[in-house]
Amino acid sequence: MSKPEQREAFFIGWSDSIDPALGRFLGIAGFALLAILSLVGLGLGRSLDDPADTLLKLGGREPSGGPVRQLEWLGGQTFTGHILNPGYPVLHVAGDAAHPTGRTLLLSGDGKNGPKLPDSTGPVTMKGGLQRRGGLEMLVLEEEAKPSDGLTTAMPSPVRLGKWRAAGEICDGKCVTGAMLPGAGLAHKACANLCLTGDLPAVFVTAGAVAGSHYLLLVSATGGKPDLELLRDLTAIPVELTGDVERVGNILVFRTDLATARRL
Amino acid sequence: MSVSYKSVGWTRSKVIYDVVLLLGIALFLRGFFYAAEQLRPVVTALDAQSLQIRAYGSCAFLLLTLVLMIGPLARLDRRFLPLLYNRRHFGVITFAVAAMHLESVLVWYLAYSPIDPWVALLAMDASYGQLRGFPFIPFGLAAFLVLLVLAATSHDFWLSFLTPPVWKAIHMAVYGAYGSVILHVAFGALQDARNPGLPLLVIGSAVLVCGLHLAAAWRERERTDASPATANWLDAGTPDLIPEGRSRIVDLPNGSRVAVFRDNGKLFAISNACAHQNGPLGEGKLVKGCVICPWHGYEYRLVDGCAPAPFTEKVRTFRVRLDEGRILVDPNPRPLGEKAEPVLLPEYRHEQA
Repeated sequence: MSKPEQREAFFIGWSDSIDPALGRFLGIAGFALLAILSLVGLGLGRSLDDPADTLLKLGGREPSGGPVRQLEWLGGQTFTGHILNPGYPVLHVAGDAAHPTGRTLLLSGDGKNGPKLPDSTGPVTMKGGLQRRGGLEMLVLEEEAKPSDGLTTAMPSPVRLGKWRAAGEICDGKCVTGAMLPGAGLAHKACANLCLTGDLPAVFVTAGAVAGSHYLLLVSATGGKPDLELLRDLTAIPVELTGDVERVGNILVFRTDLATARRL
Repeated sequence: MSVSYKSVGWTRSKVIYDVVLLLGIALFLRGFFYAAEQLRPVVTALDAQSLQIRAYGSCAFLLLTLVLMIGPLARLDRRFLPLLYNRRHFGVITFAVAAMHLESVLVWYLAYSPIDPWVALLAMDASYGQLRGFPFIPFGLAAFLVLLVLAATSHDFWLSFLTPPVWKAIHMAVYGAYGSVILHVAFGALQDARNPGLPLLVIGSAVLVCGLHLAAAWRERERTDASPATANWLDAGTPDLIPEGRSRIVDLPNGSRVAVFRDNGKLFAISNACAHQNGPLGEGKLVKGCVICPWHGYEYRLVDGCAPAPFTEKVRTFRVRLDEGRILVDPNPRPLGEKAEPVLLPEYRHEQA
């Protein structure tokens, strides 16, 4: 009986020789792999989401801009003003042409830490870098705040703007103003919670404008820091909050009881 | 091929394999960073660290997908078998890229705080009571730990130390790791995705991996004999079903498989599982009375299941007989190293005479 020998390309890994036909096939497969990896890399890089945007298109770019890029941070600036405490400490400085009602800055220390502030009352001088998103600004302190003499800036009185219900996302004030891009979304949740645990201010970024702004300092219904455990459960997801809004200087403060928050 | 756990060492094939793989990773990352930084409006750019987190994460996911595609591809088209030969390097490199992803997260999202980054990794995203926002980090960490174990035990020493069945069972956990990675992305990045790139990659990859495995299983089913039993011996069909130099695979009642080979008119039955990594010997090539495992080139004599000297690996052999033109296989294996006399097909008897 005839026994036809079937020639078949068979790869033997420890052998240095390889069938030419199999070699050609593997060469094509190798080039295909390189092409696929290149194209997928290009496609994914090209289709990354805008960090100023979030799931509900929260805080889509306003005329005043999205987050200030880190390279544009205005470092080494000095401000003298009064520390207010509408829930988190903020620095209120005298008004100018661009800020006729005064300028109110959220405050941050180095990294994911709140600011170190003097025990004394009265005016202080602070030096640091500014970051901004929408109308919300944060001063990242480069050195400890120092008491200052002789300042006569008027202290702003809170202006009540009524009760509001708004949908949005709770973020930490440092990342959402540009320390990280993106500074919102679920991928950033652990980072946001770490910031909030470090006493950085919570910010409510709303889908629709609330009294003209999408960025509001979030505090408890009684005007203190929000409950941290509740806060950490509610960051980075779409929520609906109900509360009182008031203007302090040139920022808006959202007073709410987080126990009444509704997940969307 | 090896004696005990001594590695084969570097061959030309291995070098080319690794070079192509590393080049592919470099091209992926270069393309990712170039497109993200140069092909998008500058005001929409992510910070460099967040970009790295996404680049390394998506690269590791893609590599893991490719690793899992190699097995079924090799089953569907034998020309892909060489990709399987060096698959362990592929796995270790995938682990390295996953480690870069984790490291980027630890030094950016979870750094700059008095809380230890490893503690923050699990403590800062712990809202287990809600579906929307369910913690996605533990899924990623679980997958990473599995990949760590697999990478750490990739050396032949561990294969020998753990024994091939245990080693293989441990390394099957890569499928669990892949599922965990899918959940990691599904509960994390996909929740916020507005552009279709990432969802397309993840869903497409999962469908591709599942589809290839199903197709390979279907092919395997077609190849495998249902093997009805005849007085405890298993029916492997008629000899004409087995071409010269090829095999037919038969399922044993205990779940293992026997490959019935036809070599120069003789029928041999040998375990289908290679002693090295359970590679499918039934799909191997016959050379001078030995079957060469298609996965890593281990050789076994058909007649006694022993690797030729100086090698020491052994697999089981089985008795075969012909009954009214049908091949019957004894489901009870011969002792390791013991000969199982082959059956000479009737049409060859006159040639031998």
